[in-house]
Amino acid sequence: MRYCTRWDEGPATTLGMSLLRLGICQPSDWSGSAVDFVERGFNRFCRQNGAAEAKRVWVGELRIADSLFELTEQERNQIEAEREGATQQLFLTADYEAAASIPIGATLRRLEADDKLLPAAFYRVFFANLYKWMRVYDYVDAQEHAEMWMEDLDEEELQASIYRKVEMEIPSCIQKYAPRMDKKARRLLQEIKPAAPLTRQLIRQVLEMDAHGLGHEHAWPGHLTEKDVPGISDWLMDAESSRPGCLITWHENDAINACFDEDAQHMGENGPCQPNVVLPIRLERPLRKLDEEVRRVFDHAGAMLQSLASAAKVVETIRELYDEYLREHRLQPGLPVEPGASRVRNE
Amino acid sequence: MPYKKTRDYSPDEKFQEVMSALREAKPATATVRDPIMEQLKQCPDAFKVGEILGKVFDSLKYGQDEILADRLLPPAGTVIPPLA
Repeated sequence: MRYCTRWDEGPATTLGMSLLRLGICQPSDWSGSAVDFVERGFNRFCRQNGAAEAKRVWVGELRIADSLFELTEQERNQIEAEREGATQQLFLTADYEAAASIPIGATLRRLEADDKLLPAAFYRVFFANLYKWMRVYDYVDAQEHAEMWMEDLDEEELQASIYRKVEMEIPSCIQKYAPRMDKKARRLLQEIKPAAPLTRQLIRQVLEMDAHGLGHEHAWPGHLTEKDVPGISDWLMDAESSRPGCLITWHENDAINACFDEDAQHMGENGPCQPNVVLPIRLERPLRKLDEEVRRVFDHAGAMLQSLASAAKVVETIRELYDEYLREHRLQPGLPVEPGASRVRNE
Repeated sequence: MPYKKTRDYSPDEKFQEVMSALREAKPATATVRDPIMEQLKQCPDAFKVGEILGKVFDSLKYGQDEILADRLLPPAGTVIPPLA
């Protein structure tokens, strides 16, 4: 809960009763304030679902709020003053303050050494799960960015441009063997029995991550209808795309990274960025329906946290392999052993 | 000497207690009114003056002119006596 005003107690009592019925809040959470009651239950729920583990890699917040976007105190006071009665809607939103850097090239090479089909299958399952909880910036986004900018370049500029490298740097193991379906990629990972313990560990971790997210789809704000949230169409028209929660590069400071840096400079310039995940909770519904909705929202949040906790383990292994690769393949004397400066990786 | 028999506090009882505390809190918060706003609404002239002053302070507080705001707004926590 980011705000706690006299207006918050009303919706918090309704949500609190539902959370108590569902066992997410416990009687011992009660301290006399409904907001505090919900917050205690919500914090415990996040802890139980791996928030601390997820936090090792993902910098962001999962919150319950009555607004889809950040409001100044003045804007909030104005909205509350104009509103008739207490709000009848809350939102569970997820957003990321930074894109986690995932330099996956060295890992793909390691997987390829065990089986030529492994890298693309691994990438597909890893990407598909992350994409359920966040906007993922990878080589496809970089390709789109590069294509747009290359249109205006002449031949000479094109030769010198970083944009050409986006296409050139895509590893052949991804280009040649990319499975078209998540299901096929998952089956491949389950069937291939690699010899290397590290490869087996990576596959186990990514399958664990995938299992947590099964049955869930990305709850983009764009999925909301006017019936869910009146005025959502206008808001979406004015808002920009969500900020990416991660950046998958082949190696740090490659062409994908360069495109991301260019894109990131303009993110949020023309309006607020949409949250990565939005799940509405309609408080005016009959008790049973309300509890079902709250259960569905918290199931989604739980699956997200568990997936991101597993994903954090995968990302940490990917980073270790990348650091190892850097140490072994230092190309220039004086190049730092640790990865270079990157605004997205908090080394 | 018999032990003092204490009544077990069942989890169900605690559950019901918290549920009714939340139930009671709900109508109380739904009808909550800002007492100052209520008084001002009963006296439209004062409400108008207050509204104008509110806008002035809001523009000073949230506007760009921070130096002016520092000069006019009292320090946080200052108790201002009512106007004579």
